[in-house]
Amino acid sequence: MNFVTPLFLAAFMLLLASAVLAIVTRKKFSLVCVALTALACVFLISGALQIGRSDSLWKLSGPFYLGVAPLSFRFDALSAVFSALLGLIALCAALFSHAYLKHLSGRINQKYYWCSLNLFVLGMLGVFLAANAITFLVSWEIMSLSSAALVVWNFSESKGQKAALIYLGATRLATAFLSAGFLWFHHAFDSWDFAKWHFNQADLLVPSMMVALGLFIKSGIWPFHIWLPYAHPSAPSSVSALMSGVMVKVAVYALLRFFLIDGSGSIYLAWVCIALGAISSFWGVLFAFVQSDIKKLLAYSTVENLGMIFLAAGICLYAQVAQLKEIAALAFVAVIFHSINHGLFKSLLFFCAGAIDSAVHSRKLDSLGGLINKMPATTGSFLIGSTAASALPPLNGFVGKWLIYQSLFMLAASETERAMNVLAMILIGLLSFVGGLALAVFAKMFAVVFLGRPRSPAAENASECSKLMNAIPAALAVLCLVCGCFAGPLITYFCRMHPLYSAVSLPSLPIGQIAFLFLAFAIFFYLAFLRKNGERIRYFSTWDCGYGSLLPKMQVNSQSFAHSVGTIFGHLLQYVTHFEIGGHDRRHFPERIKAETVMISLLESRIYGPALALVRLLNRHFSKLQAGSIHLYLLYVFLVLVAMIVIEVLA
Amino acid sequence: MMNEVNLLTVTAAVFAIMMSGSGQSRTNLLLYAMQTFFIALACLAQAEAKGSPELYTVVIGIIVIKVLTVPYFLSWLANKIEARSDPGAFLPIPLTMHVSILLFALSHFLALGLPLFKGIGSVASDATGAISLLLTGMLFMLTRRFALGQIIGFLTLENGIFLFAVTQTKGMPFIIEMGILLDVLVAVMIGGLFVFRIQKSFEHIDVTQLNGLKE
Amino acid sequence: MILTSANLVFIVTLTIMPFLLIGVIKKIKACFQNRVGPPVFQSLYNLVKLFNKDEILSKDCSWIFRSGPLISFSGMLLLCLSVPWLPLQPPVPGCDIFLFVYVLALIRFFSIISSIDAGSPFSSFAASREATLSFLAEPAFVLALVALGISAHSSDLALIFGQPIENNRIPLSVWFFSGLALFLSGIVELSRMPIDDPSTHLELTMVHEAMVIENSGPNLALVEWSYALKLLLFFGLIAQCFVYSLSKIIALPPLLLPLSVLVVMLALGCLTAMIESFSVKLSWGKNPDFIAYAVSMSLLSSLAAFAMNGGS
Repeated sequence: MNFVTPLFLAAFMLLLASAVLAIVTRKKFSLVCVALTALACVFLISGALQIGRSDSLWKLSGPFYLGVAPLSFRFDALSAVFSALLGLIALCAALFSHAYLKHLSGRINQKYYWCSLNLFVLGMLGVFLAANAITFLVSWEIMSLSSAALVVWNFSESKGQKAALIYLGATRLATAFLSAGFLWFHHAFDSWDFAKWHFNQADLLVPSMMVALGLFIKSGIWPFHIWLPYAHPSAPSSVSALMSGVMVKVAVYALLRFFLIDGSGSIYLAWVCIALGAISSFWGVLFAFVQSDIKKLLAYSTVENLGMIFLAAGICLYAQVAQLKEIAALAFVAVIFHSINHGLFKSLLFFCAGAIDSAVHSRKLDSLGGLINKMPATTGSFLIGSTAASALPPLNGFVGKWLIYQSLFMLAASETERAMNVLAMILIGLLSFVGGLALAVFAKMFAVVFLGRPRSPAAENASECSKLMNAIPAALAVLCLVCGCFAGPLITYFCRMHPLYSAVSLPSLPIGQIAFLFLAFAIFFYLAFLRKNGERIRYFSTWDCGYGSLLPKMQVNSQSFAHSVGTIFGHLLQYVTHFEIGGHDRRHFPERIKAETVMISLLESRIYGPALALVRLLNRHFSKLQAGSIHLYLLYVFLVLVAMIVIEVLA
Repeated sequence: MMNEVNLLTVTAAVFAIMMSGSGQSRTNLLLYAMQTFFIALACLAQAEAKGSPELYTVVIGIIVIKVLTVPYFLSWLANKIEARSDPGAFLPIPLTMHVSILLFALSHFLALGLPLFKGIGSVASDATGAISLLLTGMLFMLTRRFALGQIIGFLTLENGIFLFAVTQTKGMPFIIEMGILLDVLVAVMIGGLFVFRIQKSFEHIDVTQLNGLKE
Repeated sequence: MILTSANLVFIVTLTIMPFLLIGVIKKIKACFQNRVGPPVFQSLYNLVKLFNKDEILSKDCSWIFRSGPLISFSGMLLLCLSVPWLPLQPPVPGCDIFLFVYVLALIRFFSIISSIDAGSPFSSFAASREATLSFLAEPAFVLALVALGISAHSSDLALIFGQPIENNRIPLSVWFFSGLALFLSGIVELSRMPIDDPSTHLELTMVHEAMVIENSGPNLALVEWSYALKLLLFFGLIAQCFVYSLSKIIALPPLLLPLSVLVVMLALGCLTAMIESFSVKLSWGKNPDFIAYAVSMSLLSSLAAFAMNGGS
């Protein structure tokens, strides 16, 4: 008995019902909405688990006909994995928002929020399941617009306006490229069905690049990443978690579905993916280092991780072309595995950021500190999240990175083009560099937020948030650990998902065993050396050279920690420190010292800024065409009509 | 696959690469001397393989002039004009070294593709070393700010050309080899004097500021 | 973990060598300074002393502070038991290059956060420096190992190191350049001169010593012990690189192999002591230039690996 279709249908219905209910009802809707959405997510997860490896198509006809093609959905292993991820994160987000929105109450319109949230989940689900281009585009648009609505919630603030505009601009561009590409494909294959399309055909390079470009913009790959650091800090944390955990993965899913799963590969797209992926992983982590807002930092870290995922996708495409089956399988698994990993740990970190925000009412790293004693549960989850994000064993982030490393290693050692060997080697070097930087980024963030002494009165008076808000990150943290320690079966499962690689055997990673030994050692040495010393501990103040009164401000903050990196990469970051020393005898007895670091994003100031200025300039001239006179517009219509007729006649 | 000459030329190229990673004039000169010494050894091995007695004289000439005299003179000059360390131009100096390694790889591919002289004791990696020296020398000239760097870069470049000539031809006439050697000596002397004069007139030897002269 | 005689030798040498290495380095440095120097096993005596001492903790620190040394010690011990050395196979099998590198990273992560925990400006500043240095040196370290792995056609450390000489397919130049790269990045990772002076007494200039400025008693003992193990781990790998490259030139009898690795390790200790006696600490801004050489060596090593790989 197959429950897949009914389960998904129920999920769709419940999400819609929840969205409608949020708008229609007057009072007490929040709890009902949460329940409905959560139930929908549970159905979604169980449906996705039901799919397993089966492959079925579900076509709706009649009233659900979308103009040129029916609304049709396809359930297979790939969409199952991503819908399960969506179900999980959406469930967490719904439950979390229930508690989190109290912190924003009064400022946020809850009706509006719940309606958009449900539509957002619905849209993403539609994209994951779409079997034809029209269903895909419609769902894509629902997803884009509802997420934009969620980003805009504080439109009254100028920051929110800017974020919303940038985000909307990015999504419009992405949709435009996707639609253009899809139209071209429709022209080439005379069908809207994805099953009949071949994206990797050499003569269809232009439309496939258009589609890829749309996906790049949506996923926030360099140089299109600039919407991420605006949208995330502006959106509520639960929405950020969904956006960063799942929405950017929609593009990865589409890449997998269109280009990777058919196993033919495309060399041009491979190069583009490798180049952009490598640059964005470096760029993202470098910019993450110098941020001082938690959510901005996390947004840049998303750029880094997406870069790694696209890098793996590029390797997979290359290996498919070069007929290196094992490497292709490994890179394929790396793409899926790291997408899921990133979905788990990044949403965990965003939820924690929300918890901190609701407890301290600040996301600035430099006004936090010492939260480990005030919020122990959040600290634990955040610690696991940040170790996973810096790809440390035995967490899931490491497994994803290990798969990418291993595929690069095998590519470097394989008998293929020499240049590719050398490139794979350089990429390993780059990835290790990025890994080291990511470690520093997350060590910095964790230490500045949770350790030391509180840097502001708000942080000093913070208290742990509600149980629900602790439980959700904790559950995700457990999942991160499980996915890391029991990576072996998951890797095999993901590998079987590809129709061509089911027989490939992959190298194994003894991470569970290492983790177990590590834990055993740690417990043993704790009991042996540290515990019995428990009664012989004396407490004293931190070493202050004997002067006394070490102020919280004297601790390292996010900027001083990043200073040496800022100076090393000063040219890329446009990182400048201004010192101002004031007082009577300024050199020896300064009365006040002010140090301020300024960082300008090179891309924004040098490329996007001038480009926007150009568009504005053109706009000013084009606006003359739009004089507002009805006769003028009629004239345009008339001219276009005549021109079309003339062209038709001449042809 | 590896033979003696091979290892010597590659070592010379590695020394050139290491030279390009240092901004200290004295380190540069020391590594230049090492690199030239290994070229002299490579030349010696060629002399043995080809059995040409003139090459022995050339080896002695190289050691006396290029390994000893020129670095000593330039190091004296660097001390005199106090140009001990070079801040670098266009590209950070550590990155210069990594780029020159990539150029080394590139010259390896290039040498594999060249229609090379298949004479006695000549292998593709000789050409690799020679081309790499040439490219590293040019990169060195490009990324140094002080005029002294241009001289050292030029000398490395010349080493590359010399190595290419020695290993990839049947041998040049003796008189030409010696003539080139003396030319190099004279060029270094003149270059050194120029650097000295520039330092005297402008109180710096920063070549990036020479475009101020165009008015 | 099966206890064979080889494993026994492995573990016994593992217990003695770290302290011997530290002792030798200190002794030779003392010789250069015309001092008698401490006894060779002084660091072992120090350890015993520290374990019996009371502990002073800062009022501001949390459980993270004490977990740092614990994690770094257990991690280091785990790595020592899973990396081949003295050309012997390790008791814990299956450690590959990337796992090795990232367990080291895990240790670094916890030592960084535990040094910031007390809120001391000195140790936090040192933690920032440590983070910077290590990500700069990371590519050199990884690429040197990967170059060896490419030549050996495996990323498993047990198939790269610790192999009998006749099975060893890695060419001389790869061994040699990787050894150099590992040595240079080892100087950075182990915070030795010219990157960091382990014997200075100015908190502002130190890296490793300043990071543990708040640690005391058994806590400090664990830090020192894990440092000694780290020294052994790095020197063990570097010494193997050099011994294997030596074995390509002159034929070493298999029995002499462990002995020559031990000798080379002590020689590396001498070299470190000499560098520390004769060189000066680089200014902070010059450190990237130094690390660039380590990266260069590993790049050369990987180029050599490619050139030889295609030739066969």
